[in-house]
Amino acid sequence: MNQKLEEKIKEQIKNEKPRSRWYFLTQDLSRDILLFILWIFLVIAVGFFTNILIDFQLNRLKVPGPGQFFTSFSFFPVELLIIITFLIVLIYYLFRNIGFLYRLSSWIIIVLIFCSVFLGYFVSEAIGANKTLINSTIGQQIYNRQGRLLIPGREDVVVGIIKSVSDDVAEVEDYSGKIWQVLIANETDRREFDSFAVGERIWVLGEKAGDKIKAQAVRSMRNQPRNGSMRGKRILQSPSYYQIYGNHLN
Amino acid sequence: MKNKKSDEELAILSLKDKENFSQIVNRYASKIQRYIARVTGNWQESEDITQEVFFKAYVNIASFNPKLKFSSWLYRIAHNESVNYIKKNYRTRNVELNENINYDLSDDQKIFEKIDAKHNSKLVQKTLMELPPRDREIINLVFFEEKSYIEVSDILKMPINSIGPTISRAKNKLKILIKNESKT
Repeated sequence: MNQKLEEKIKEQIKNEKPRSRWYFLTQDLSRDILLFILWIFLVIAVGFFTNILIDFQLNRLKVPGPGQFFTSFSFFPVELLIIITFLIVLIYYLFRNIGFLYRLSSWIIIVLIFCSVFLGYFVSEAIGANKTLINSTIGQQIYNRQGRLLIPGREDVVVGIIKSVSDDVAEVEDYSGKIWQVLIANETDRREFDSFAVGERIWVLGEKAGDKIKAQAVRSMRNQPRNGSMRGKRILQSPSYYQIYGNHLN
Repeated sequence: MKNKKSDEELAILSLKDKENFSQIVNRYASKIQRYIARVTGNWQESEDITQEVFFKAYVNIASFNPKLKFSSWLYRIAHNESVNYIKKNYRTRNVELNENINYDLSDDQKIFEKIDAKHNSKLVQKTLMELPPRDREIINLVFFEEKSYIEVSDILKMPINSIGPTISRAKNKLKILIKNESKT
């Protein structure tokens, strides 16, 4: 029976020719190039993600109120995290097909990927590639798309008192006495905005340009202590505090 | 007397002369067929799958990496083909075909004894088929084909350090299955 099988196999390959070595070399090269491109994308994505997280952390401290967690979470760049995870999984499977890397433990491969990505990240930080990329037009677009309400640039937060208010704009005076035009758009997270009144202390997160700030989120600070260092120790203040006593900053 | 060429040498020479590949076929056809039969649990289909394995091996012989053992590379193709077959026929696979494998594998009695001397080959074969495909394949490679851990790693493309624990788990499952089967 086996003799018959061997003859069948020989008969089957009689008119066949093996594929050339070039075919496989091209295939391997394409895979390696793909892996390298994916790795570059991963480094860039991690760069964006890290920057967003740094901003997230800096601005989070200024998010007032008990809704801090939910407000912060609405800024979290979930899509970017999904993209990064997807890229890591893809790179992991491509990595395992290189040479004899499959012999290594999965953990070693994952650690290798993480080390190589962070090395790439620090190199791109050192040579300024990350900064250039984030400040480019396309970089800003990607940056602003992440987190939906998105984290604006670092320190782009205004805390002040409403001087005047209409449907889509509010004038806010900050603690240094500077007057800000707060622009309210449809995409602004304005869950409390409609109840705001003149003299109310508010917190605005947005993109600053001159004396204007395009609001991404607006919150009342009516129940917050004025001293940032007392965060957590809630001092209840009447919503009409400033209306009664006037703006003590002036 | 002329020196017998190694598998690796024959594989490299196959690119130039088909006769070298014929020698590979003579050396491995029955081994590969037996391996496929044990993994798929289907002796009749194993012949067609074996033909497909050698056809693919010949067409892709230029992709063989001489740093690897040729047998591992060939078993890797057999593994892929077997897995494809199992996936295609997952719902239609039936156990009665195991009887045919036992008939053809009767010369493996010594190897069966290594697993459990008290049980006959039919019982081992039947219980092996109840193991998950991955466990079944590792048991086949280590105990029936007598492959080293590195070779198993190359064939199944799995980390070397996870082979030992997988074998241990598979053996435990097999012991339980044999025990249950003996009771009934």
